[in-house]
Amino acid sequence: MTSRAFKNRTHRGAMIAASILAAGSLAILTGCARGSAEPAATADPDEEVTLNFAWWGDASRAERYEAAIDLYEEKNPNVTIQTSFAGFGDYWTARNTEAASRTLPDVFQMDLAYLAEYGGFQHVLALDDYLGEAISTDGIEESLVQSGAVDGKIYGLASSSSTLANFYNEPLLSQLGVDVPEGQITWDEYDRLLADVTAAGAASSPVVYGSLDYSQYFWLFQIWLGQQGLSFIEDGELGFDEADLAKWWSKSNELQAAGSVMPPERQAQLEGVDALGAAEIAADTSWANFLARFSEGPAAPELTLAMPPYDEAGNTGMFLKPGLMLSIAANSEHPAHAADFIDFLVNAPEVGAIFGMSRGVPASSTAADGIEANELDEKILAFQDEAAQHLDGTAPPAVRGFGTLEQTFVAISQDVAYGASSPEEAAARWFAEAEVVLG
Amino acid sequence: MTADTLTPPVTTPAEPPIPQAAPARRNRRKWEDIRAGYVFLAPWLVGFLLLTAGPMVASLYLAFTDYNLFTAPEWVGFDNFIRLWNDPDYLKAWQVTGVYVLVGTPLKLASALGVALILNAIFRGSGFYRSAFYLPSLVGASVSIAVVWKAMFIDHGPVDSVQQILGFPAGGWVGDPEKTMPMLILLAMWQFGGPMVIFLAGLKQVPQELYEAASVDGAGPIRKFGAITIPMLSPVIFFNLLLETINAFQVFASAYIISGGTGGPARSTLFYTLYLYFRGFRDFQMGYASAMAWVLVLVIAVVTVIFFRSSKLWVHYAGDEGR
Repeated sequence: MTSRAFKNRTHRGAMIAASILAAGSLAILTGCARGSAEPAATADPDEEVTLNFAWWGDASRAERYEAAIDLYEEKNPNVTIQTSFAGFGDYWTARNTEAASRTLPDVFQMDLAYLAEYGGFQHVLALDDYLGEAISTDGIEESLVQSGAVDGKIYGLASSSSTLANFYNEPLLSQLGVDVPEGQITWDEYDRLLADVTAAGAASSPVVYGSLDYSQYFWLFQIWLGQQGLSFIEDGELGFDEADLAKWWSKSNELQAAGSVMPPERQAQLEGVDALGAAEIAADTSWANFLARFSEGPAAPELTLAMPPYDEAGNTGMFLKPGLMLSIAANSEHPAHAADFIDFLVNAPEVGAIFGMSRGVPASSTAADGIEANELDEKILAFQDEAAQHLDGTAPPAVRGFGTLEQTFVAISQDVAYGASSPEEAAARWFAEAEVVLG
Repeated sequence: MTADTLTPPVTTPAEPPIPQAAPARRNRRKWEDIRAGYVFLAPWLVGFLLLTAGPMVASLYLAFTDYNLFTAPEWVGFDNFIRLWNDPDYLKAWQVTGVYVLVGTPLKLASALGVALILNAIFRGSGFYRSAFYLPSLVGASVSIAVVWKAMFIDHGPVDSVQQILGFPAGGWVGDPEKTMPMLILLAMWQFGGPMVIFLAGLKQVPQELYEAASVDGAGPIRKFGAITIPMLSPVIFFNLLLETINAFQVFASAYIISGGTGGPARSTLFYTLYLYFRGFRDFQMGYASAMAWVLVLVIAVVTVIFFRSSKLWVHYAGDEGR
């Protein structure tokens, strides 16, 4: 009889274990069902509050955030802010698992690539109630605020913005005897310039190429689409067809064949070093605020910023891309305090002074006022002011799977660069992927 | 405990108390032993149930759903599995992994056996060499070695310099889709330490008399290797082959590091687990990723069964002769 009792007991133990397990997996599976507490309209300044705040970025960004947080805690002695940060990839792995278990940090950095998932599935709060109230938007360009929208509500507020720019290493171009372009440059002129650089730079050590294969730049493709009168996403669906993408990627074949751009074999080995910063290429297209990063490269190149190529005046396809965005978790217990903290990070001139241009050009003019611009910052600001007069495109809206669309674009463009796929095959492949992603 | 105190006293009231007490005490001691066993087992058992078995069961369910981490999973039947066979990247991932398993594993075992044979022949300082050769596999699984490996095979790196001296065309291996697989297989071969130590132990077990008898019969070293060493070593070869094959199917870290987390260049290092990771954590297709995981589990299970079945044909267990 003792043995039966024992059996019963183990059986019961197993049952308990199994039910814990089942409950655990159920919690994992259905963990998204719980709603959040009703947000308080305004923050009670006397309440003792701890906010969690997470971002991706390097050590220098961490130092800047910590300095800004020290200031904030000084002004709000009842608020304690706990921080964590990681690289972009690990950061999102952590956030995604937290989203599944509804334990997201109160405030965290958001990217356009994931905004639709987090906003559309109600993992972050709609900020509309706070915008113009706890979070001032007076100094922020309206289109930039709207770029944080998903289904008509704002789920992330950009703290900075950027535009694409062509970078030229002018001293290197002169040294190679290639004319430095002035004013508007058309696509054909740009391609010719790149070919000239490669022809002149073949004898240098290291060999200098015109540029990197720009057909793999997802964001340059965006403005090219704008110039063709197309858009990336239209009413939640792709706003262009396979032939358009094949046409874009066929540029890769032309560039590689003409030798205008660095071969992919070399480019693949450049990890951790920018080809432009190492002066292995004389021109490139990237975000204007990367000027500091490229200028600090091993060759310390002296770079100038110019508009990316376009064929007709008044049709640049250019737009302001929202930079680092900030969101409030739906599971936050102190959304009003979180909103106040976001207002501080986005608008405070002191924060602007701490970050300078490292986040991009500040979204808020009040934050920008705090910046003591150095020479490079002046260049970026001057370029973005000039570009602001030519913005006739629109930033792609946040849609679910945007991050996947971008990453597969880059991966598949490699096939074209290596000659493993024709532009048509590659375009068909990307469209098949997009169909799965957009559903 | 009410159940066992109730019945026995009622049915046998007349029996003397002493014989009854003895089995009860023995039973109690037995129960205490069992309980102690479970207590000692508990840390592992809890870990196994919560960290391995639970997630596995959950992933089996998820494999039949559309699950993006953000909303509740939605049952889709076999859709994920059907999609697998029409996904060019998935087939590419099998191709990459297949080449690595079929080519890399035998080469790794061959290099391990080769080094073990050499070490077995050395008498002076063999302990030192054994440790020295085992060292790479101690650190080999780590990220740092992949980083070093990448630096060695990059443009103007040591390997590039050597191949230029030997008259081969210049250029690093990292950016060339044709050369990334050889590079990763070389990395695997270099991490021969684990199987080598096991081979070495096996070689020490081979009775010297067999070699002596073979020498008397006039057998040369090659004949001795083929007729004595390999058959006597076959259980160890079998063990290593099985283990290394299963490991090869699951290779992740080295490919992730060397390709910079992309599976590139041009998908040449898109290993199965890497692609699974992309689908799950980059694309939020957890259902699809779970389906991939379960296909891999099944394939590894089938391969293991085939190995065990075939082992009857070629694995020679000393002492089996009588059967």
